[in-house]
Amino acid sequence: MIRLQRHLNIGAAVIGLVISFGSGGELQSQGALSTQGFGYPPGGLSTRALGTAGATGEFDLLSARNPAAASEIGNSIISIQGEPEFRTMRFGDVREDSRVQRVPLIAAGLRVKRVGILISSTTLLDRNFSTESPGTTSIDGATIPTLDRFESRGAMTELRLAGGWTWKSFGLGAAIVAVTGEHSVVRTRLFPDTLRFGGVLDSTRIGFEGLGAVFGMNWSPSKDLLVGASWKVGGGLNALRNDTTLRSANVPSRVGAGVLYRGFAGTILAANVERVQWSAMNGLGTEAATAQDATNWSAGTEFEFGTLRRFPVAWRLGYGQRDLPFLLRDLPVSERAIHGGLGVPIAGQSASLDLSVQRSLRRVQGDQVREDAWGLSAAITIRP
Amino acid sequence: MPERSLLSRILPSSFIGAAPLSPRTPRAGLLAALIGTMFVVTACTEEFQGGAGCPFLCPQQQAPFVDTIINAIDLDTTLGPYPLLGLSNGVLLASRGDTLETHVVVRFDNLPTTFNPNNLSAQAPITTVDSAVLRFFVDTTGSKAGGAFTVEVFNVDTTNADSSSVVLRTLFRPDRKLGEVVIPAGALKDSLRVPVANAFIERQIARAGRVRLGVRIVNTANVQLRLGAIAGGEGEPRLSFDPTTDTLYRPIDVVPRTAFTGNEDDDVLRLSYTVYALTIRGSAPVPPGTVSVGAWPSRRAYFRFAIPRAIVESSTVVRAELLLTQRPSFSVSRGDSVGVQPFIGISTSAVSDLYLATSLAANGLLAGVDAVRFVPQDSGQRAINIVSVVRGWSTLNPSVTRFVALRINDEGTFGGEIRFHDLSAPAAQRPRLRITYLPRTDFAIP
Repeated sequence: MIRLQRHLNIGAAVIGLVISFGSGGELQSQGALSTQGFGYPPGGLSTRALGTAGATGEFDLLSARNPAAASEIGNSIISIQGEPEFRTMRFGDVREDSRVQRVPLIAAGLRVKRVGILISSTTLLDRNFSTESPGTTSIDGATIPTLDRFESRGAMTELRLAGGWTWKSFGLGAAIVAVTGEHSVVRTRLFPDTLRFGGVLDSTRIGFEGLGAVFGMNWSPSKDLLVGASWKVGGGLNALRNDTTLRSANVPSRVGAGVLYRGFAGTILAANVERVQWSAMNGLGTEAATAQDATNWSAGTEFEFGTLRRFPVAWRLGYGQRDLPFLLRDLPVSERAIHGGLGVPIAGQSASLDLSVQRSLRRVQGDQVREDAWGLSAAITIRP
Repeated sequence: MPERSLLSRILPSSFIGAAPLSPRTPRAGLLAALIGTMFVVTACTEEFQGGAGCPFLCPQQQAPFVDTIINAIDLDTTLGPYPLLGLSNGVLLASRGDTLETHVVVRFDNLPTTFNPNNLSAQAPITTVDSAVLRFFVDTTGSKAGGAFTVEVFNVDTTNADSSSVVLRTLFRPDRKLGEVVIPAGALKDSLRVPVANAFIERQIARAGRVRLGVRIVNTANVQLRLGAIAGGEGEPRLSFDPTTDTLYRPIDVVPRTAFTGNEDDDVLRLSYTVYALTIRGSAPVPPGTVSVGAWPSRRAYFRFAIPRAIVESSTVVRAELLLTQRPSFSVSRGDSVGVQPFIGISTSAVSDLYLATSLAANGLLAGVDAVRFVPQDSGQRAINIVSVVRGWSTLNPSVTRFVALRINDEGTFGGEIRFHDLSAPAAQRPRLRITYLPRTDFAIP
């Protein structure tokens, strides 16, 4: 029991370090490829699935994809995940570095008879950034220089209640999804001539509410093969201020499928493809936040190599490519990423620590803007 | 025991986090290395320079400002006279030909009757007065003297209505003259000493009476003097004399005091009539279609605002200028620049008397509104920056009247007048508000 406590403390310390150092400068970013529109979609993947670039997402119980995977809960499970990201944006001769911190997944579940039930909170779209840039405005026919600041904090979050059940070689699942969250935005505009002009300091806040449902299945046609598919149906999605609906659209629907194969020496090969109907969100924002549908795919592997305190260590590797939802001035933004990671048990069968690292290359058509990012992800999962 | 899941049937146990015990050697060092790696990677020094990719990478740009001129003034008028008598730091003694002439009256209603010979405690009655002078402090920055001039002092005490200017102006006559001084050209200093007849002072002390002196500049000169005035203040005038002919004694300084008899026992009245200016020839009345600032006696221009609530309460105002069209004035000092200070209304609509509301107004400097300089003889459009005032109105109690009053600097000691077209003027010349604001938008929505 004492050993269990010590290992849990170590795992918690790692998560704490990731979160605290990653968020040392508040949530800061800048005008970047990944912060267009309503923000960046972390993908709803667990650290474990991130290690394979999401290739195993359809079979991962913590990832917010296929509710049929909830049947893998065992008796109960609790998990929390932290993700700092270090970005470098290059635009001509301009280079900007920034760092953002996310806690994109918190989940807890238990088994009730033969049904695994999982409650999770995942980040649908992360919109934390701030920009500071010189500008001009025309007042009374004269061009006046300004210093413009724009800061946004907030995210759309998916709250998900999923149930999964296994029957023979089939796994079935369903989930209801509530989209919530808020954006808090501050805009500042300062004039050099502070005697003649007063500055602008406005702040506002909007909230979101939406609903959706997810259906999923897994099927094992042979002892070494597993296929899965899920379908997310998006309901209404509203932007609100207090109790007033400002704009309405729909929660993006999604269709995904994956295959997982156990090859030689216990090595797992997996692939995943999905189509996300981000365009359902069009209308929730202005034309500057036009979304495009995305087709994403990934392939990855997981294998055991070495042991830690007598337990095998799982190593993961993957490659993925996806389209980011929001256009940059009518130009699509794509992302390619190489992922790697590992999972180690830190308290026998009671807890595990997962780490992953991603190298993401985000490009806009024509490569006039490049955004490269190192992403880290760490999660501690406890099975009480 | 739950049924085995699909994954657990085909996958390594590590995949689902349910690892069986293994006889392999522990690797505690690996865990430490993992923690160390995470520490090193995440402890990097932050570097943040945001927005260099804007505007290309910032499609959600700042919303444009609305820049407009609106008829936001629903009432304008000229109020006066200001300041209240006796409440000015200075008093103007002027002889400016046909434009302005003022005299100054100083009351010494309490005269000493004893003094301390040899600075001992024993007191002796004053029986002799020597070297009596009326002494003023002079603010040379507000004074003008083109050449030599003469200052005369008169006995203006009377048993008639002693606060009536009609009565008082008749007392500046030769039989009441008590003394004079000639100031040569260029000899004006920061004090003015006008000799007063010793015998007159001596007689008034002997009678336990009072001394009320009127001072004027001989009207052939073109001179104005800004004199220290406020009773009890540092710069108040003094009546000085020696209580004996022995010059070893220090002169006695008598400060101005006044006393009213009967029902006029009022502190304000006492203050008003201790040191004050008597207008012999003041400024012309305000012509039709004009609001006036300054002049003599001094006036204030009053502008009440009615800005649409959508602008004041639901927008961010970044510029607000009161646009006025100046028309030439032929007042005294018409070629001199004059500072005009905006004052801001702070009283509620319960104060319906505009003169009182303007008297209670707060100096615009407290709200960051600076004075603006005008030249009386000039004309054309002028702008007074009141952005900080207009921005503050959004948080002000609705019952507070939104007005701006313009007050000339050196009010009460300067005769220059600034004139503006009023609301009856053509649209392009009437008082208006030039305002630049950022309407409220749902800028949280990208």
